[in-house]
Amino acid sequence: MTAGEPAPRAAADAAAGVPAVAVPAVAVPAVADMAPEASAARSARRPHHPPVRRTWFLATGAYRAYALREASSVVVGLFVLNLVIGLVSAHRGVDAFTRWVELQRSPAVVALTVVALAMAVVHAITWFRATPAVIRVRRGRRHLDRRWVVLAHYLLLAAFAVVVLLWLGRS
Amino acid sequence: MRRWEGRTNEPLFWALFGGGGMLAVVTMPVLVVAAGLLVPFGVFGEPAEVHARVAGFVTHPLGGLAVCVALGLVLWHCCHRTWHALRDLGLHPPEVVRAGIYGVALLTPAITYALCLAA
Repeated sequence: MTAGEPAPRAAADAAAGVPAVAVPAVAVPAVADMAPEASAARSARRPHHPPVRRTWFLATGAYRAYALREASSVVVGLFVLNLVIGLVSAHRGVDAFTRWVELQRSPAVVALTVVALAMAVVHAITWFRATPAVIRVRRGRRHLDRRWVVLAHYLLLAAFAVVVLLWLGRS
Repeated sequence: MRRWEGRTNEPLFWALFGGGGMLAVVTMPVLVVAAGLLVPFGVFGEPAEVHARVAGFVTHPLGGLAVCVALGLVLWHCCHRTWHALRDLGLHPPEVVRAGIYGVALLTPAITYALCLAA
């Protein structure tokens, strides 16, 4: 699930000793005494790196979906900071907690909440779709079908939702 | 013993990222709806009533610690993705930015729990 990295080839090339800029003048050994160790001082490799635009992630639908998935985590992180403030307010007492709840009603926080909800749903759907690649349950020579793994995760989400809503809702 | 040069601690970061992602995907949709929409708009009653119901778990030292650790793990997921998103955009921020981003993920639960214990 890690992000793709289009640019570490430069670092890898530097590690391999391939010069990124014009090669400084080196005395080329005569053909007759061209030993293998002498030719290793300057490699003849010149891998081709196609130019990568800054907006590469807008180029295709798959790239855009990936960018949306990565952006979803930033928004969710902001909401986690909001929840953290709520936790401290709850510790501080009823008045602080009431003030925090009233802050949640302000337009900015409602906007953050709506976007964070959309992003959390995006994250959930894309994450669940990827889990069968990691969780492979063998049944004889074959594996359990992907849809059961995904369904199990949705059930986990639903169970947690029921627990939280019951806990909040019990009188 | 194998040499240390050229090795990274990225697999450890990735493991925490995976754990945080799993926790986030199970908990965050409900928490966003409940804390962002249901509680503020009175579905569960007045804030004082909600506080009376949740305070038992949330203000308990171990309950607060559990919530802090869980939110911290989710934050780690977000910070790891943010760092790699910066690299995907073609920027290559220096190591101090990386320390800052992961520092947010590490320090936020720590500071939160300290504030909770102090309150």
